[in-house]
Amino acid sequence: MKCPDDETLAAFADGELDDALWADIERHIDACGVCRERFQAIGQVDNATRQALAALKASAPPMTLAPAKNKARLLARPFAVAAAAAIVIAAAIGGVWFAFHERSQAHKPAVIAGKPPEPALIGSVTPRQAEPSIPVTDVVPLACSSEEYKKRIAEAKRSAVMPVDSLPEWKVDELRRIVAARRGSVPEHDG
Amino acid sequence: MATEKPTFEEAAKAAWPTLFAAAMVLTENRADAEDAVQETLTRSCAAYGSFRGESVPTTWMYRILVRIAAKERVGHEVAEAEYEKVPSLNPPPDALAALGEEVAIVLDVLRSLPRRQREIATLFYLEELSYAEIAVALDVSQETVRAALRRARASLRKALGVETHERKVPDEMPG
Repeated sequence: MKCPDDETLAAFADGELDDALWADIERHIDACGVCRERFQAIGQVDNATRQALAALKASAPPMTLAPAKNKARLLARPFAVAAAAAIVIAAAIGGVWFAFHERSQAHKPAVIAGKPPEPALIGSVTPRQAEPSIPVTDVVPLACSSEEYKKRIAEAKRSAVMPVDSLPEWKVDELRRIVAARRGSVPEHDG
Repeated sequence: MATEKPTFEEAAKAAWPTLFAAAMVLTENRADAEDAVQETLTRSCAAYGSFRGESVPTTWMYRILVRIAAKERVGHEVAEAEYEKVPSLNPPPDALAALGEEVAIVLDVLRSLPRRQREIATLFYLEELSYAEIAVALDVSQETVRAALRRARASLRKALGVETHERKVPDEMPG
Protein backbone atom coordinates (compact mmCIF):
# COMPACT_ATOMS: atom_id res chain seq x y z
CA MET A 1 0.00 0.00 0.00
CA LYS A 2 0.92 3.66 -0.19
CA CYS A 3 2.56 5.30 2.79
CA PRO A 4 -0.27 6.81 4.80
CA ASP A 5 -0.38 10.57 5.21
CA ASP A 6 0.29 12.15 8.59
CA GLU A 7 -3.38 12.42 9.51
CA THR A 8 -4.09 8.78 8.75
CA LEU A 9 -1.01 7.63 10.59
CA ALA A 10 -2.03 9.70 13.59
CA ALA A 11 -5.54 8.27 13.41
CA PHE A 12 -3.92 4.84 13.42
CA ALA A 13 -1.93 5.74 16.51
CA ASP A 14 -5.10 7.10 18.14
CA GLY A 15 -7.12 3.97 17.36
CA GLU A 16 -9.48 5.97 15.17
CA LEU A 17 -9.47 3.80 12.03
CA ASP A 18 -11.83 1.04 11.04
CA ASP A 19 -10.48 -2.46 11.47
CA ALA A 20 -9.63 -3.12 7.83
CA LEU A 21 -7.61 0.06 7.35
CA TRP A 22 -6.03 -0.35 10.74
CA ALA A 23 -4.78 -3.81 9.81
CA ASP A 24 -3.47 -2.53 6.46
CA ILE A 25 -1.47 0.17 8.11
CA GLU A 26 -0.19 -2.13 10.80
CA ARG A 27 1.15 -4.43 8.07
CA HIS A 28 2.60 -1.45 6.23
CA ILE A 29 4.41 -0.16 9.30
CA ASP A 30 5.95 -3.58 9.80
CA ALA A 31 7.35 -3.43 6.29
CA CYS A 32 8.22 0.27 5.91
CA GLY A 33 11.04 1.66 8.02
CA VAL A 34 10.19 5.27 7.22
CA CYS A 35 6.62 4.91 8.40
CA ARG A 36 7.70 3.00 11.48
CA GLU A 37 9.89 5.94 12.34
CA ARG A 38 7.04 8.36 11.68
CA PHE A 39 4.78 6.30 13.89
CA GLN A 40 7.36 6.25 16.68
CA ALA A 41 7.74 10.02 16.39
CA ILE A 42 4.02 10.43 17.07
CA GLY A 43 4.44 8.31 20.16
CA GLN A 44 7.37 10.41 21.35
CA VAL A 45 5.49 13.67 20.84
CA ASP A 46 2.40 12.32 22.56
CA ASN A 47 4.33 11.00 25.51
CA ALA A 48 6.21 14.22 26.04
CA THR A 49 3.01 16.25 25.78
CA ARG A 50 1.01 13.98 28.09
CA GLN A 51 3.82 14.01 30.63
CA ALA A 52 4.06 17.79 30.52
CA LEU A 53 0.33 18.18 31.03
CA ALA A 54 0.36 15.58 33.79
CA ALA A 55 3.06 17.65 35.53
CA LEU A 56 0.86 20.72 35.17
CA LYS A 57 -2.08 18.82 36.63
CA ALA A 58 0.05 17.74 39.54
CA SER A 59 1.09 21.35 40.13
CA ALA A 60 -2.53 22.44 40.58
CA PRO A 61 -3.07 24.26 43.87
CA PRO A 62 -5.55 22.77 46.34
CA MET A 63 -9.07 23.23 45.09
CA THR A 64 -10.87 26.29 46.31
CA LEU A 65 -14.25 27.75 45.67
CA ALA A 66 -13.91 31.47 45.99
CA PRO A 67 -14.45 34.54 43.90
CA ALA A 68 -11.72 35.02 41.32
CA LYS A 69 -9.21 37.32 42.92
CA ASN A 70 -6.44 38.05 40.49
CA LYS A 71 -8.13 40.42 38.13
CA ALA A 72 -8.71 44.03 39.05
CA ARG A 73 -11.51 44.18 36.52
CA LEU A 74 -13.50 41.74 38.59
CA LEU A 75 -13.86 44.42 41.18
CA ALA A 76 -15.90 46.33 38.68
CA ARG A 77 -18.48 43.57 38.44
CA PRO A 78 -21.51 44.97 40.07
CA PHE A 79 -23.03 42.22 42.10
CA ALA A 80 -20.42 39.54 42.38
CA VAL A 81 -17.73 41.24 44.39
CA ALA A 82 -19.61 44.37 45.35
CA ALA A 83 -22.17 42.39 47.31
CA ALA A 84 -19.47 40.73 49.35
CA ALA A 85 -17.62 43.98 49.90
CA ALA A 86 -20.80 45.75 50.87
CA ILE A 87 -21.65 43.09 53.40
CA VAL A 88 -18.19 43.19 54.95
CA ILE A 89 -18.25 46.96 55.23
CA ALA A 90 -21.75 46.88 56.59
CA ALA A 91 -20.77 44.34 59.20
CA ALA A 92 -17.72 46.36 60.18
CA ILE A 93 -19.67 49.45 61.10
CA GLY A 94 -22.49 47.57 62.67
CA GLY A 95 -25.01 47.94 59.93
CA VAL A 96 -25.10 51.62 60.51
CA TRP A 97 -24.73 52.80 56.99
CA PHE A 98 -27.74 50.82 56.01
CA ALA A 99 -29.74 52.20 58.87
CA PHE A 100 -28.87 55.69 57.79
CA HIS A 101 -29.43 54.97 54.15
CA GLU A 102 -32.78 53.35 54.88
CA ARG A 103 -33.97 56.28 56.93
CA SER A 104 -32.92 58.94 54.52
CA GLN A 105 -34.24 57.13 51.51
CA ALA A 106 -37.53 56.20 53.10
CA HIS A 107 -38.82 53.32 51.02
CA LYS A 108 -35.75 51.50 49.80
CA PRO A 109 -35.27 48.03 51.25
CA ALA A 110 -32.41 47.47 53.65
CA VAL A 111 -30.94 44.57 51.74
CA ILE A 112 -27.72 45.06 49.91
CA ALA A 113 -27.49 43.98 46.34
CA GLY A 114 -30.92 43.48 44.88
CA LYS A 115 -29.89 40.90 42.31
CA PRO A 116 -28.24 37.76 43.60
CA PRO A 117 -27.59 35.60 40.57
CA GLU A 118 -23.97 36.13 39.62
CA PRO A 119 -22.79 33.63 42.21
CA ALA A 120 -19.50 34.83 43.56
CA LEU A 121 -20.27 33.17 46.82
CA ILE A 122 -21.16 29.59 46.61
CA GLY A 123 -21.69 27.05 49.26
CA SER A 124 -23.18 27.06 52.68
CA VAL A 125 -21.12 29.91 54.02
CA THR A 126 -22.14 33.43 54.74
CA PRO A 127 -20.31 36.14 52.85
CA ARG A 128 -18.48 37.23 55.97
CA GLN A 129 -16.77 33.87 56.17
CA ALA A 130 -16.15 33.83 52.47
CA GLU A 131 -13.37 36.40 52.14
CA PRO A 132 -10.32 34.14 51.88
CA SER A 133 -10.28 31.05 49.71
CA ILE A 134 -12.51 28.35 51.05
CA PRO A 135 -11.19 24.80 50.88
CA VAL A 136 -13.89 22.83 49.14
CA THR A 137 -14.19 20.44 52.03
CA ASP A 138 -15.63 23.25 54.13
CA VAL A 139 -18.26 24.05 51.59
CA VAL A 140 -20.59 21.11 51.88
CA PRO A 141 -23.18 20.86 50.52
CA LEU A 142 -22.97 23.16 47.56
CA ALA A 143 -26.07 24.97 46.52
CA CYS A 144 -26.46 24.42 42.85
CA SER A 145 -30.08 24.80 41.98
CA SER A 146 -30.92 28.42 41.44
CA GLU A 147 -33.79 28.18 43.95
CA GLU A 148 -31.53 26.86 46.65
CA TYR A 149 -28.92 29.39 45.68
CA LYS A 150 -31.35 32.28 46.10
CA LYS A 151 -32.39 30.92 49.47
CA ARG A 152 -28.79 30.80 50.61
CA ILE A 153 -28.09 34.29 49.42
CA ALA A 154 -31.13 35.48 51.31
CA GLU A 155 -29.96 33.68 54.47
CA ALA A 156 -26.48 35.08 54.09
CA LYS A 157 -27.85 38.57 53.84
CA ARG A 158 -30.00 38.12 56.91
CA SER A 159 -27.11 36.87 58.97
CA ALA A 160 -24.69 39.55 57.80
CA VAL A 161 -26.88 42.63 58.15
CA MET A 162 -29.24 43.21 60.96
CA PRO A 163 -32.53 44.53 59.60
CA VAL A 164 -33.02 48.16 60.51
CA ASP A 165 -36.44 47.45 61.98
CA SER A 166 -34.93 45.35 64.72
CA LEU A 167 -32.77 48.19 66.09
CA PRO A 168 -34.29 50.33 68.81
CA GLU A 169 -34.84 53.93 67.82
CA TRP A 170 -32.15 55.35 70.18
CA LYS A 171 -29.57 53.04 68.68
CA VAL A 172 -30.41 54.05 65.15
CA ASP A 173 -29.95 57.69 66.10
CA GLU A 174 -26.67 56.98 67.84
CA LEU A 175 -25.36 54.99 64.93
CA ARG A 176 -26.34 57.71 62.54
CA ARG A 177 -24.38 60.21 64.62
CA ILE A 178 -21.31 57.98 64.50
CA VAL A 179 -21.55 57.65 60.77
CA ALA A 180 -22.07 61.35 60.35
CA ALA A 181 -19.03 62.06 62.49
CA ARG A 182 -16.95 59.74 60.36
CA ARG A 183 -18.08 61.44 57.25
CA GLY A 184 -17.50 64.83 58.82
CA SER A 185 -21.03 66.00 58.30
CA VAL A 186 -24.20 66.29 60.31
CA PRO A 187 -27.02 64.02 59.23
CA GLU A 188 -30.21 65.58 58.08
CA HIS A 189 -33.13 64.79 60.25
CA ASP A 190 -36.01 63.21 58.56
CA GLY A 191 -39.54 62.66 59.78
CA MET B 1 -26.65 7.47 30.62
CA ALA B 2 -26.38 4.48 32.90
CA THR B 3 -24.03 5.96 35.46
CA GLU B 4 -25.51 8.17 38.10
CA LYS B 5 -24.75 11.86 37.92
CA PRO B 6 -22.21 12.78 40.59
CA THR B 7 -22.83 15.68 42.95
CA PHE B 8 -21.34 18.95 41.84
CA GLU B 9 -18.71 18.74 44.52
CA GLU B 10 -17.58 15.29 43.37
CA ALA B 11 -17.54 16.44 39.77
CA ALA B 12 -15.62 19.61 40.59
CA LYS B 13 -13.04 17.72 42.63
CA ALA B 14 -12.49 15.22 39.85
CA ALA B 15 -12.23 17.95 37.22
CA TRP B 16 -10.05 20.34 39.19
CA PRO B 17 -6.53 19.24 38.12
CA THR B 18 -7.58 18.92 34.49
CA LEU B 19 -9.26 22.31 34.50
CA PHE B 20 -6.23 23.90 36.09
CA ALA B 21 -3.81 22.38 33.58
CA ALA B 22 -6.14 23.28 30.72
CA ALA B 23 -6.46 26.85 31.95
CA MET B 24 -2.68 27.11 32.09
CA VAL B 25 -2.67 26.37 28.38
CA LEU B 26 -5.75 28.34 27.40
CA THR B 27 -4.81 31.55 29.20
CA GLU B 28 -1.62 33.57 29.25
CA ASN B 29 -0.38 33.02 32.78
CA ARG B 30 -1.06 31.42 36.10
CA ALA B 31 -3.07 34.26 37.57
CA ASP B 32 -5.41 34.28 34.58
CA ALA B 33 -5.58 30.50 34.72
CA GLU B 34 -6.65 30.50 38.36
CA ASP B 35 -9.28 33.13 37.67
CA ALA B 36 -10.60 31.25 34.67
CA VAL B 37 -10.91 28.03 36.68
CA GLN B 38 -12.70 29.82 39.50
CA GLU B 39 -15.12 31.33 37.08
CA THR B 40 -15.61 27.96 35.42
CA LEU B 41 -16.53 26.40 38.76
CA THR B 42 -18.85 29.25 39.63
CA ARG B 43 -20.67 29.04 36.33
CA SER B 44 -20.78 25.28 36.19
CA CYS B 45 -22.11 25.18 39.74
CA ALA B 46 -24.95 27.48 38.76
CA ALA B 47 -25.65 25.48 35.59
CA TYR B 48 -25.07 21.99 36.99
CA GLY B 49 -28.78 21.37 37.41
CA SER B 50 -29.24 21.57 33.67
CA PHE B 51 -26.29 19.27 32.92
CA ARG B 52 -27.85 16.00 31.75
CA GLY B 53 -24.77 13.82 31.90
CA GLU B 54 -24.44 13.69 28.10
CA SER B 55 -20.66 13.78 28.58
CA VAL B 56 -18.43 13.36 31.59
CA PRO B 57 -18.67 16.42 33.86
CA THR B 58 -14.99 17.24 33.29
CA THR B 59 -15.56 17.57 29.55
CA TRP B 60 -18.67 19.65 30.13
CA MET B 61 -16.72 21.97 32.45
CA TYR B 62 -13.86 22.13 29.96
CA ARG B 63 -16.30 23.48 27.44
CA ILE B 64 -17.29 26.22 29.86
CA LEU B 65 -13.63 26.96 30.56
CA VAL B 66 -12.93 27.23 26.84
CA ARG B 67 -15.54 29.96 26.49
CA ILE B 68 -14.27 31.86 29.48
CA ALA B 69 -10.67 31.60 28.33
CA ALA B 70 -11.56 32.68 24.80
CA LYS B 71 -13.15 35.83 26.17
CA GLU B 72 -10.16 36.36 28.41
CA ARG B 73 -7.85 36.26 25.43
CA VAL B 74 -9.86 38.56 23.18
CA GLY B 75 -7.07 41.09 23.24
CA HIS B 76 -4.55 38.47 22.23
CA GLU B 77 -6.82 37.03 19.57
CA VAL B 78 -6.74 40.24 17.62
CA ALA B 79 -3.02 39.89 17.23
CA GLU B 80 -3.06 36.12 16.93
CA ALA B 81 -1.87 36.03 13.35
CA GLU B 82 1.15 38.05 14.37
CA TYR B 83 1.52 36.18 17.61
CA GLU B 84 1.90 32.90 15.73
CA LYS B 85 4.76 34.21 13.67
CA VAL B 86 6.77 35.53 16.57
CA PRO B 87 8.73 32.83 18.35
CA SER B 88 8.64 33.44 22.06
CA LEU B 89 12.01 34.66 23.24
CA ASN B 90 11.36 34.30 26.93
CA PRO B 91 10.19 31.30 28.86
CA PRO B 92 6.61 31.74 30.11
CA PRO B 93 6.63 33.78 33.31
CA ASP B 94 5.02 31.09 35.41
CA ALA B 95 7.85 29.77 37.50
CA LEU B 96 7.61 26.60 35.48
CA ALA B 97 11.30 25.91 35.85
CA ALA B 98 10.60 23.54 38.70
CA LEU B 99 8.49 21.39 36.38
CA GLY B 100 11.29 20.97 33.88
CA GLU B 101 12.20 22.42 30.54
CA GLU B 102 10.00 20.07 28.59
CA VAL B 103 6.88 21.26 30.39
CA ALA B 104 7.78 24.85 29.55
CA ILE B 105 8.33 23.95 25.89
CA VAL B 106 5.08 22.03 25.58
CA LEU B 107 3.14 24.78 27.32
CA ASP B 108 4.73 27.39 25.11
CA VAL B 109 3.88 25.52 21.93
CA LEU B 110 0.30 24.78 22.97
CA ARG B 111 -0.26 28.41 23.96
CA SER B 112 1.03 29.60 20.62
CA LEU B 113 -1.34 27.42 18.57
CA PRO B 114 -4.38 29.02 16.95
CA ARG B 115 -7.36 28.95 19.31
CA ARG B 116 -9.24 25.94 17.92
CA GLN B 117 -6.13 23.81 17.63
CA ARG B 118 -5.18 24.75 21.15
CA GLU B 119 -8.59 23.84 22.56
CA ILE B 120 -8.73 20.54 20.69
CA ALA B 121 -5.16 19.46 21.42
CA THR B 122 -5.44 20.36 25.09
CA LEU B 123 -8.60 18.31 25.56
CA PHE B 124 -7.10 15.46 23.57
CA TYR B 125 -3.95 15.26 25.64
CA LEU B 126 -5.57 15.86 29.02
CA GLU B 127 -8.45 13.43 28.76
CA GLU B 128 -8.54 10.11 27.02
CA LEU B 129 -11.24 11.04 24.53
CA SER B 130 -12.02 9.84 21.02
CA TYR B 131 -12.16 12.22 18.06
CA ALA B 132 -15.94 11.89 18.14
CA GLU B 133 -16.15 12.85 21.80
CA ILE B 134 -13.89 15.86 21.28
CA ALA B 135 -15.93 16.90 18.26
CA VAL B 136 -19.14 16.82 20.29
CA ALA B 137 -17.58 18.54 23.29
CA LEU B 138 -16.32 21.45 21.23
CA ASP B 139 -19.00 21.62 18.53
CA VAL B 140 -16.67 20.92 15.64
CA SER B 141 -16.49 18.18 13.00
CA GLN B 142 -14.30 15.13 13.40
CA GLU B 143 -12.34 16.31 10.37
CA THR B 144 -11.55 19.50 12.25
CA VAL B 145 -10.33 17.44 15.19
CA ARG B 146 -8.11 15.32 12.94
CA ALA B 147 -6.63 18.29 11.14
CA ALA B 148 -6.10 20.24 14.36
CA LEU B 149 -4.29 17.32 15.96
CA ARG B 150 -2.08 16.87 12.91
CA ARG B 151 -1.04 20.52 12.99
CA ALA B 152 -0.62 20.59 16.76
CA ARG B 153 1.52 17.47 16.62
CA ALA B 154 3.67 18.96 13.89
CA SER B 155 4.28 22.08 15.98
CA LEU B 156 5.04 20.03 19.08
CA ARG B 157 7.34 17.73 17.15
CA LYS B 158 9.40 20.63 15.85
CA ALA B 159 9.64 22.32 19.24
CA LEU B 160 10.54 19.07 20.99
CA GLY B 161 13.14 18.29 18.36
CA VAL B 162 11.66 14.95 17.34
CA GLU B 163 13.05 14.15 13.90
CA THR B 164 10.89 12.38 11.36
CA HIS B 165 9.63 12.36 7.79
CA GLU B 166 6.50 14.30 7.05
CA ARG B 167 3.87 13.22 4.55
CA LYS B 168 1.06 15.60 3.83
CA VAL B 169 -0.30 13.38 1.04
CA PRO B 170 0.13 9.65 0.50
CA ASP B 171 3.19 8.66 -1.53
CA GLU B 172 3.82 5.58 -3.54
CA MET B 173 5.90 3.35 -1.40
CA PRO B 174 9.39 3.04 -2.82
CA GLY B 175 10.13 -0.47 -3.91
